[in-house]
Parts: sequence; C-alpha cells; structure tokens
Amino acid sequence: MMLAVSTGLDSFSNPKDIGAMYPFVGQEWVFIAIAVLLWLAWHVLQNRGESSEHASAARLYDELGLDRAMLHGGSALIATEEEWAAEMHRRAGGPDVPPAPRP
Amino acid sequence: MEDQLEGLTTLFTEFYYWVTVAVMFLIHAGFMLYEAGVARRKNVQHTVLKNLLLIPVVTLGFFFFGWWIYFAFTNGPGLSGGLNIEEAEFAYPWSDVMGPNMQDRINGVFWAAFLLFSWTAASIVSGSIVERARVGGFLILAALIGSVTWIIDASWGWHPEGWMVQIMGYHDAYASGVIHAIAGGMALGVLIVLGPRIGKFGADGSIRTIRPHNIWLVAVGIFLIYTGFWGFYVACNIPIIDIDASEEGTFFSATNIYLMPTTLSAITFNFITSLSGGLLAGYLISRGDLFWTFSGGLAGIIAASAGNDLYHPMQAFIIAIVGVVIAYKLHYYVERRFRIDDVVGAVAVHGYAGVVGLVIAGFMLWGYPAAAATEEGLAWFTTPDGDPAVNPIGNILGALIMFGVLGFLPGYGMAKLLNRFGLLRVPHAVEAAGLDTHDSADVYPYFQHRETDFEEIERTDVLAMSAAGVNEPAGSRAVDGRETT
Repeated sequence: MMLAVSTGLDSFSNPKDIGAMYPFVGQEWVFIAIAVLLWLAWHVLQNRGESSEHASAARLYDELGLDRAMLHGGSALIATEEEWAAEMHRRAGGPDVPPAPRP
Repeated sequence: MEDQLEGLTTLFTEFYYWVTVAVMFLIHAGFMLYEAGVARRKNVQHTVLKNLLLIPVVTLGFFFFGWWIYFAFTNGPGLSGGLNIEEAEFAYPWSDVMGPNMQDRINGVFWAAFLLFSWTAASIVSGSIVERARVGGFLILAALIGSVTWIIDASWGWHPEGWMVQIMGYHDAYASGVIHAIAGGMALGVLIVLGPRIGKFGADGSIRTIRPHNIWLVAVGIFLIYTGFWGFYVACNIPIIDIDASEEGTFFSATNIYLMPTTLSAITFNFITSLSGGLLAGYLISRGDLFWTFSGGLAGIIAASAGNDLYHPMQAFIIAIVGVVIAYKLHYYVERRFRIDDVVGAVAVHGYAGVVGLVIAGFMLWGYPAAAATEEGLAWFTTPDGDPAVNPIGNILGALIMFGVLGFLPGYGMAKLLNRFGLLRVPHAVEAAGLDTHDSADVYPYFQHRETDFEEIERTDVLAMSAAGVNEPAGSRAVDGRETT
C-alpha cells in the first residue's frame, strides 16, 4: 500500500538529486522560532528558579543562624535540633554529648 | 560526489573534523573535573552544573547566530568592506545546509568544531568565577563570549579574509588570542565587578589561600584538557587542500586556518615541546606547586600557540617558558595589587600567556605571509608576492583587540549589567553556607565534615557585612598584603 502523506522524501533511489533530508524543508523558520523562544524562556525560568532558591535558603539561614547552617561545612546537611543543641552545649563548655543519630 | 578522489577528500575531511569534535569533548570533561576539584565540598554540584549547562546554552546561540557571524563579519566595522551577507547565506539557521543534506558534508562538522571552541572560551571564564557566581548570570556571560564575541574575533583575525589578517597581518594559528586572550580578558572584566570570595582577603591586607577540596580531580581535569587540546589543535587546520598557487601544478597539504601551509607533524612537535617548556617552567617558578605545574603546561602551550604552525620545536619550548614566567608573575602581582580573586588563574594562564604568545609571534614570524591577499594595497606590510605580512605591530594591536576590546570590555559591561539586576553573585549568606544549598544532597555523604578555620572566617565576614550594611567582602579594596593559609 502506498503512503498517502509525505513530510519530505519518499525515495533514496537517486542520491545525486537529494539535497536537504529532514522533514518539512522550507518550514525551518517555524522550528527555529520555537527553539529561540524556548532558549530565551529557559533563561528566564532558570534565573527565577535560582533567585527563589537563594531567597528561600537565605530565609532559612536567617531563621536558624549561619552557624547552624554551616555546622557540617555546608548547608546541604543542616544540623538537626539535637545536633545543634549538643553543639551549643559544647560551646558553653559542657562535657561532650554524643549527637543523636541522624534520621 | 561522482569522482572517487573528490569523494575520498570530502569524506576524509568530514571524518577528520568529526574526530576533532569527539576529542575536544575531553576539554570540557577536563574543565568540569578541574573546577569541581578546585571548589570546596559545599560548592561542587553548583560548579559542575555551571559547566554542564553552558553546553546547551552556547550551542543554541551558536546555531542561531554565531556561525553566521563568522562568515558575515570578516570586514570588521567597515574597515575592508561591509557585511558579507551573500557569503554567509549558508550559515543562517534556516539555511538548508544547517541540517542533514546530501550535497553538503562539511558544514555540520566544521560548525561543531567551532562550537567546541565556543564552549572552551566560556569554560575559561567559568573557572575564574567559581564559588560565588550565579549559574544564570554565568550562562548569560557564556552565551555572550561563546556565541558572539569570540566568533567576532575569529571572523576578524582567524579567517583568511578577516580584516585583521588582511590589513594588519595578524597571525594566531592555534588561537593564543582568538580563544585564550579574549577569554582571559573577559574573565578579568567579570572578576572586577564580581569581587573576591568571602574571606579571600583579610581586612589587614592579607591574602588567604583557599585550598582545593580535591587536588586529584584538579590533576585529572587538567590532564584531560591537555588531551582534548590535541583535538583543538587539529581542528584549527584544514586537513587536505591544493596549496600550489601556480596554474600548472598541484601540491596537497594541510593548512592552518588562514589557508597557509603547515603539517600535522609540525603542530605535533610544537604542541609537545611547548607543553614540556610550560611544565618545567611552571614547576620551577612555583617551587614545585602541583597546581601551577599543571597550569604551567597549559600556559606554555597557549603562549606558543599563535605560531606553532611554523616554529621550530625548541623555539616553541623557549617561548612556552617565557609565557609561563610572565603569566605566573603577573597573576600574583594583579592579585596583590588589585585584589582580584581568580580561582583557577584563568586570566593568567589564558589571558596573559595568550597575549605574550601573540606579541612573540609577531616578532618571530615577521615577514611570513599571513594569508593570500584579497585586495591589493590593503595590507600595512606585504611580502614580495604582495600578500599581507606578519609583523609585530599587527600582532601587538591584535593582542589588545582580543584581550581588551573583545574580551575585557564586554565582560566588564555585561557583568555590570547583571550585577545591577542582582543576577551576578549569590547572596553572601548562601555563599558562606555553600552554593549547593539545602535542596542539594551532600556530595560526600559518607565522609565526615571537618570544620576549618576558613569557615569561621567566612561566617564572621558575612555577619560583619550584615551588621555594617555593606555588600563587599572585607579586604576587597586593600592594596598590599601578606599571604596566609
């Protein structure tokens, strides 16, 4: 059965006469326009997301204090209440208390 | 392709560039490892993401307009003609050879080879600004250098018909200027606006060393950059072309980007000897520092690259040494004098070494044909055949254009603009607590953290800045200092 619709080529039998091989030749501008819009929109969304991530992190550090956020060297592992209490106890000169196991 | 010779030549050229692209990928694996190793544990994922995302961002910009710029802008700002609209038609993103096409096998691989240079230019800037720059801000800078400014300089000075080549006799075969000096210049412009990492400089003028979190990653990263550099060098050549200018003969050879003869053997000799010179000089001048020994190797290659198509291997070796010594000394002078925190020394390794390489090439290759003349009477200095001649003035001015006009100025201007909109630097509390914020998992979940003195310095600085209501880390404006660790 012959194909009723073609988006481009339907034969490779004469390669000398074949130029562009992708579908919808002549309509490139449509794909390019979509890609440019996606490229620009990605920048906008990425910057928004990054700003929001930073704002949320800064709020958290305000709330907890930078000392606690950095207790484990970086904020990817923020000290738990128990760990922070133990640290405060240590800083106040109290004997070392073994930290509670992390959940 | 109806004839076998034409078929073989074309398919060989297509395959040749394709291989260079695959090899050049290693440069980016290398940059990523290098920067991730230099970054501290709390910033590793952010650093890796920055390197990774520049790939799609620069690629699209280069497809949309970068490739077209290379062919359209050769005449510069009206210096040897207008825009080359007709010659650049095939490079429009909607051109039918910007995709699978049976009548064209070179455009895609040649485009990709240039694209990989674009990534490299952006990666160079990336290294200098790690641990405090925003990903989004960096990606806009990456699009600027990777898809616009470097390709303008390539069109001007890295194209056989570029105005800098035709008028000034500019010669820069393996991109000391067109990739390295421009990227170093841009990094410097951005760094001035971005400022140093918190705690890098003490209020008393001291300079603190912030140690890499993993020197092994740094070492492996730079080794991969060396490896990828082979692809970079080879991609700067045209692999096979008839260079006999007389009507009766044919002489097939490789050429440099200016269609002037060279050989793969020539650049193989010189790549290795300039790497060797750089490594030896880097080791000695840094008194055995691993980081600077590796960086010296890179700076050595970059210093000799402008003329590595023609130098004798021992000339390349000596030039590499000179480039590394100057770059190293300048790095620490600028750091002390201007409080520039260039994390990986990119401004020195790429910028200063690239500029030194261009200046030396102007003297060493004085009188060599830069390219075939496109028009009589255009060049400042000509060979007996009437072609533009390489000369020191052309290369010194060229170095200023690359580093200053197309590198530093756009970098500084764009950084100012991004800074105005709060898109350049992360908030200080986030910087101190780690750019891998609480949403990210720790990169070494099974390794215990050991608090360092430096974290205390960072916390204190951030709290002091917050209390004083200032936005600039301590010591940013001091003018002299001592080094501490």
